[in-house]
Amino acid sequence: MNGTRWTGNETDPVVAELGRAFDDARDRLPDDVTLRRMWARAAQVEVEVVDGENASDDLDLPVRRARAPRWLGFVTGMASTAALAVACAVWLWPRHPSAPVVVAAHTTPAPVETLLGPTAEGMIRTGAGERLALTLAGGTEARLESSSAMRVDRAGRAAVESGEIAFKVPHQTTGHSYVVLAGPYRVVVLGTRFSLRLDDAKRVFVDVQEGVVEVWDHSHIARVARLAPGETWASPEAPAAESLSVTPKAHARTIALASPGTAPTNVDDTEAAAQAALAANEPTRALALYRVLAQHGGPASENAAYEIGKILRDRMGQPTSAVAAWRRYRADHPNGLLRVEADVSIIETLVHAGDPSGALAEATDFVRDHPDSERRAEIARVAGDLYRTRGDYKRAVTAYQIALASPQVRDAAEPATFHRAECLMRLGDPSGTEATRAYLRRWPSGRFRTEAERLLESGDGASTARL
Amino acid sequence: MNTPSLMRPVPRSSVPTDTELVARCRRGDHVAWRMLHDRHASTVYRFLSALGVPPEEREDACQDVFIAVYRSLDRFRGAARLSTWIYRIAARGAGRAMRKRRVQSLLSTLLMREPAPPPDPDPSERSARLATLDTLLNRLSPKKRLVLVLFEIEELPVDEISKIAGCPENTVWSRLHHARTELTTMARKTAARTP
Repeated sequence: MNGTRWTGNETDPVVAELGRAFDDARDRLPDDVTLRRMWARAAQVEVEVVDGENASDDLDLPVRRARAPRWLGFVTGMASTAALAVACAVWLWPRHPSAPVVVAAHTTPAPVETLLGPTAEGMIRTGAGERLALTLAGGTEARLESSSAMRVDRAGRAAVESGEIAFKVPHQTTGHSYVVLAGPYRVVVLGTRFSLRLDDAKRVFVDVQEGVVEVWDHSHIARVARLAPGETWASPEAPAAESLSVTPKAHARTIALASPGTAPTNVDDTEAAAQAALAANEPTRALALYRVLAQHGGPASENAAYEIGKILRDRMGQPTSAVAAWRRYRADHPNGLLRVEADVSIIETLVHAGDPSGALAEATDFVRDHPDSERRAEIARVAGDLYRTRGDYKRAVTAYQIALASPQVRDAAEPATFHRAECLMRLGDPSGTEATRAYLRRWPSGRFRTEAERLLESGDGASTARL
Repeated sequence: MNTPSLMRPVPRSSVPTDTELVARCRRGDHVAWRMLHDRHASTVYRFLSALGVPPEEREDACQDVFIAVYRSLDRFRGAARLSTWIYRIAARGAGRAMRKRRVQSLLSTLLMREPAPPPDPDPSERSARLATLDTLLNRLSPKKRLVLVLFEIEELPVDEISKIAGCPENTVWSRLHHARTELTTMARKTAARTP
């Protein structure tokens, strides 16, 4: 086995099973939605970098890090011992879960940061010069600056009473959000980093570092601001007054203010509404929203144009309209991120809709136009199947060879190998017999074993008859 | 639509190389950054999965890798392949995340006095075979795991693995041999225990 890949064809069942597990691991790729989510976040990187963040210096190849001096190990050891002692002290400190937790601050000359685990219901305060980091229910991390206070209710929701508190909220599952209360406002987040501050006059300040945050006026049940990274928002002098004061930071972008209680007015809202409609099994409404979205520019428009096809095919049973929608997508976004997905969707849909000629034309174009696509082998195999079905064995062999030559052949390898051998035998090519035997050697218990054995028998019979 | 012909030569020149994309990214070309991300995102995701980054952290971990890539594009000299460079960044990121999880787990034990809630089941990992492989890989040392994953799952040549792992090629072979032996031994024990 040394020096070669783990083939999975070993006679030892344990080794063979490990080989199959590695095959599975090679196929553990993100789905289309995950990829789009990943891109949506990566697309924001440029903005951050333009804002002047420094890159780390340890990424060049092949650089080794300098060894840390010996004294550093001693200092680290001492620090670890001290940290362990503090941790044990906190652990052994008597707690009364039934009573509200009150963390009273000690006034110290320099800021002291304390780390606490999941926090029970109650009021948490820090004194002057004290900082406190803690974890709330659901994994939200909160960091209280000095002289701050926060109330936590039974459900683990936080309400900022005074001072400044930074939150790091883990990504919420679809349809869920995390809410922090601050005076008369509700700050709604989907997974982000932001900080909240209440001054002595009870004005609320929201500062967003990552993700998107919405501020809602609790008493009027209306959204008053939607903030992107780098934006800040300040409530008016008198809470719940009609006017809003906006305080952009040095690099802040324009704050998007929404009309409360109206239909979706921006791209994100429209997309969220469309997704909600799909989740509620209302494809017609989702389709209408995506059509509106497709009229805008940018990545959301591209996604929407692609989604229209999926809804038409998967939710509304209209394959012809779906193909037309994806062709429109291709015309509008010839180099789009979802171009490959659109092409593959068209081919799949045409095959299932009983249009082999259309599917074959698309498949051959795909193989020609996407030489580096991970789907090339799969589509070349589809083209081979379509040629084989119409009896064009010569072109089918060529298509299967393209599939087999692709580095991403994976699942297409077995059917392409067998059908190539089959087509060669049907063409009367002498190499067909050896190709069929090679298939049986590589996949002794393969899906096409019986057919391959039958082919060999009939091939041998034909040879004997010819002799 | 053209007449279907698979025999037609493939126009490869229309596809920009990684080096071209890096150069365009440095000039602030957003489309190039998108193409670069699109080209490598799946690989990074699969690689981080194989290195033990749990499903709920994978997207964030991938994002961190690409942020690091973007911020360091100016220092990419082209001495190695871009994919090698990205693998190395991803391996470091996974190592860092692993250490962070270990510390958090220790602190949870010391301070929280209650275990963290189990992550939601990931539908893409329902396969018992993959789950078993992950369990076995978790028991390997990080260095052996990295080499095994790069060779068996990412199917990279040994010279490239040596650049990513930062060790000589002979060491790669040695780690690979030990990793395979340990993995097989552990798999046999697991199989023997399973009725």
